[in-house]
Order: sequence, then C-alpha cells, then structure tokens
Amino acid sequence: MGQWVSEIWHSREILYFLAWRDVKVRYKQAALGVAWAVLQPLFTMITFAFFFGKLAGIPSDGVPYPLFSYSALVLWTYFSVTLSQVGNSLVANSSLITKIYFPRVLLPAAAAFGGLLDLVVSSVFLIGMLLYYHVTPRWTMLLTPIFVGQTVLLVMGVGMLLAALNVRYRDVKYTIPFLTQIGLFVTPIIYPVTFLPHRFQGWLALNPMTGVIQGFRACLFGGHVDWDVLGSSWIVTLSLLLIGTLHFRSTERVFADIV
Amino acid sequence: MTESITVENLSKRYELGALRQETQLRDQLARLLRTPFGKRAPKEVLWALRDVSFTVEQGEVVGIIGRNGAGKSTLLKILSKITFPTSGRVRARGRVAALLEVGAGFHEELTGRENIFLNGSIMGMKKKEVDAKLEAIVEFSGMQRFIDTPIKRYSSGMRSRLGFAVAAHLEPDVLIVDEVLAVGDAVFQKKCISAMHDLRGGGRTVLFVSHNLAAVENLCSRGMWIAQGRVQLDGPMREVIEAYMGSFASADSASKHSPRQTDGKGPARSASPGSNSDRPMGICRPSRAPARVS
Repeated sequence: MGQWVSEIWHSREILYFLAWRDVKVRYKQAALGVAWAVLQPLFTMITFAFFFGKLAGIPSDGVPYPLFSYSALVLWTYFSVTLSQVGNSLVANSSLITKIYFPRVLLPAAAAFGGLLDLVVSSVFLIGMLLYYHVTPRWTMLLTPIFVGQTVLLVMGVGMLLAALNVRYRDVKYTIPFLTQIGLFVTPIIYPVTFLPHRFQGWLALNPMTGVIQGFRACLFGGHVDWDVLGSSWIVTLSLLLIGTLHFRSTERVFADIV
Repeated sequence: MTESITVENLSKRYELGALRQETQLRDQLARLLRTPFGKRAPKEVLWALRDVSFTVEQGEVVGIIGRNGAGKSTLLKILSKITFPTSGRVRARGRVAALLEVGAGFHEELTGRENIFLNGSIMGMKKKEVDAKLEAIVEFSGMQRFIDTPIKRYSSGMRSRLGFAVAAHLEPDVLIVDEVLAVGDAVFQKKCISAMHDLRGGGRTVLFVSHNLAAVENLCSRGMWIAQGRVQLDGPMREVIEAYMGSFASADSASKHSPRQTDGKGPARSASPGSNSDRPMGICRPSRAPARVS
C-alpha cells in the first residue's frame, strides 16, 4: 500500500495533465462553454422552485426556496455528473490502459478533480445568490470546503468501485444514471430532512450525501446541526472510500486484459 | 556490464471467449441458476508466452522477430507493466518507456502542442523536461506549422510523427518499441532509425519488435525469434534472421507439395512490402531494403 501511494505521489503530474485534459476538452465546440456549469443547476433550481417550492409548498427551513435548493444542487450536480465520469473513466480511456503503464487510479482521480472546475463556477453563482438574498455572512461559511472535500472523497470511493466493476461488467454504465436519479430523491435537496415523517429520517442518514448537504447548508445559513447525521455520513464516506480503494487495488492488474 | 532486463520463467495465459461470454451479470446469474453447484465450463486457454527466460545487458539493442500471434507484443506488454504475467518474474532497471503505439493517449480535440505535454507526461516526463525539449520535439516531428491545430485535423502520418517525436525525447534507460516503422513515410522511417541509433550510442537498452527485417538487422546486435510463446532462437541478429527466414522457405516448399488449402492462408499469401502480413518485409535481401541508414 505504501508503495502504491508513493508511486501515485511520483506521478502527480500525470494526474494534473489528465485532469487538465478533461477540463480543456469538456466544453470544446460548445458555444456556451463553461456557462453550462451554471446553467445545469440553475435550470434545475428554477424547475424545483416552481413545482416544489411554489406549487407544492414544500418548506425550506426559513431559507428562500431557490437558495435552499440551489445550494444543495451545487454539490449534488458535482456528485452526480462527476460520479458518472469517474465510473466511466477506465472504459473511456481503454486505449491508454492497454498501451501505456501509469498508476491506473490516476484516471478516476483526474475525473474527480476535473469536475471541481464546474463546482467552482457554480459556487460563484451561489455567492451571487447569497448576496442577492442578503444572507448574513457568518464565519462558518469558511467551513464549506470540508463538505466539498467530503463529496470528492465520496465520489472517489464509489467511483473507483464502479469504474473497476465497469471494466468487467458494462452494466455499470447503465446503473450510474439510475443511481443518481434515485439519489436526487433520497437526499434532502428538494426538501429539508424535517419534511419527512420521523421514522424515515434515520434511513435518510444512511445516505452519506444527506450529511454533506445538511452540513453545507448549516455552514451557509446557520441553524441546527445534527451531529449524528454528520458522523454517520463521514463513517459511510470513509468506509466506501476504503472499499473502493481495496477493490480497485485488487482488480487493477487485469484491467488491460479485460477492458 | 550490468543486467538491464531479467526475465525468469515468464508465462502468460489468456482465456479465450471468457471475455465475451460472461461479461454481463445477467449471464453469470443465468449460469448460476442453471447449474448452482456445477463447475464452470472449462475455458479454452491460450498460452501467449510459455516459460520464457532471458537477460539483457545494459546498452544492448535486441531485435525481436516472429510471426503474428507469436507472443512478441505480450512480452513487451509485460515488460512495460501494462499487463501482468500468469507466472514468472520480470525485472527492469531504471526508467522504462514503452512505445507500443505511436501517439497512444493523444486526444483528438487537443492541439499538437497540448498533446506533446499530455503524452510526454503520461510517458513519464516531468513538465519541466517537456518545457525544455518542446522545441526539439516540434522540430523533430516537422509539425511547426500545425502545432497549434487540433490533431483531429492531422493525417495519420502526421500523428505518428508527433508521437515518435515525443518518444524520441524520453531519454529512458530501457526503450521498448513495437512496430513503429509500419507507419510514416520513408524519410520519417529513416529519422526514426537514426534516433534509435543515437539511443544505442547513449548506452540505453532497446528492445525492438518489427517485421521490417532490414531495419532490425541494421539496428540490433542481438536477435530473438519468438514462436508460439517460446524463444525459438536467441543469438546474433544476422543468424536469427537467417534461421527465421529459413523456416519460411521450408514451410513454403512443404506447402507446395501439399494440397492447396482453402482458407487462403496457404502459398497464395503475398509479401507485398509495407503490408502488415506475417511475412517479413524485405525477405529477399534485407540488407538492400530502402530503410537502411548507415
């Protein structure tokens, strides 16, 4: 394991160039370019604000509903879009895997880091919304990167597992959109946790993104912090990271033979 | 002299068909339902390499020849750590660079210049090194005019020139090259061969697979002929080539007397130069082939 980590450290420039390639290529020949990073969560938010906030009247913990949903969508969009890219990273780069040796984990890692550019762009828009709605600045806002970091770890954990499985079973490719679509509903993005009947709230805490979104919102808007949810979210995140890493390590030797 | 590459009892097994048949969970589940306790159907296996052992001294240039499917590329893939052996061990000293496909890892949407950085980095160069050698690489490739054009607009020849240009500036301790001369025009082939000559002068170890026997003979001091996963002959390059070509001559004369095969693989094969058939190029007089440089 130590050797593996040191090899990755020595190849960090490859990680940089692979992530750079993903970023450069993402919006080539797209007229709107990087604006897509904002447009996706923005239009989702507008749709949610109309149907769920206005028509269905779903509560939003005293925060304006557009801000409530957009703040969660910033992280969720990164999670769902990047998870699909990380999960497909090995298969999409099969020509590299079969022709050049380098630590294989750099491919999912580059996809996870490359997606952060979109997150930064959509976060800038979030800052604009915070100003527009006159949200009082508070020091806890400086803690938000913790939850961004947790999302990256989660994407890596689940993503490495899916990417390695995808090499052998292409079913994974079809599973990922399905997973993220369901995830959108079993994560408190559209609604606050308190909107659910009490007996369901515990189940929701098993989803690590619940703690991420709750913690992220608490940093931005203040309010009650449920430490149990945050704790279980970190436990699940780190367990998934461990499982993902171990599975990836145990299968990476045969990637070139079966991809 | 120190040993640069050590290969001990190397074997590699591939399972035929296994990849296609059960790569879907559905198929595996179906099999499990049909025969829940039964053994798996025996898979057809192919030994791409069987108990191969050899050592290469530092600075040696070894040409590896053999027919298609003999196991040459599998050997190179194991040496470059792309795939792992089923059994046996491989050790290589120093930085190993493998050029199994010219321009592997190029991205269509990126420009020539951007691809030099990407490819150079993946092949093991530091960014500083690429910065320092950028001009030399561009000049070697002869792509000065098109260096800021996305390579999706390049011809295949241009692409391989750029790819080889990067590889020629890697300065590895061990260079592994698989059939790069199959692409590019005569002028560029000449450039490639002289670049490999320079590598030899620098005390680097080179393993070179090619069907271009003239180039192999010209570049390599030592030859290795691989057939059916085994080292058939290992010795001075000229002798190995003679023995290899001798095997074709006897196979040809044998097949003249046998009834003609219907699969088209019999004596009707043509050895047109430049074609990627398993007949060696320049089979008549390798030393007079145009790729020779002195």
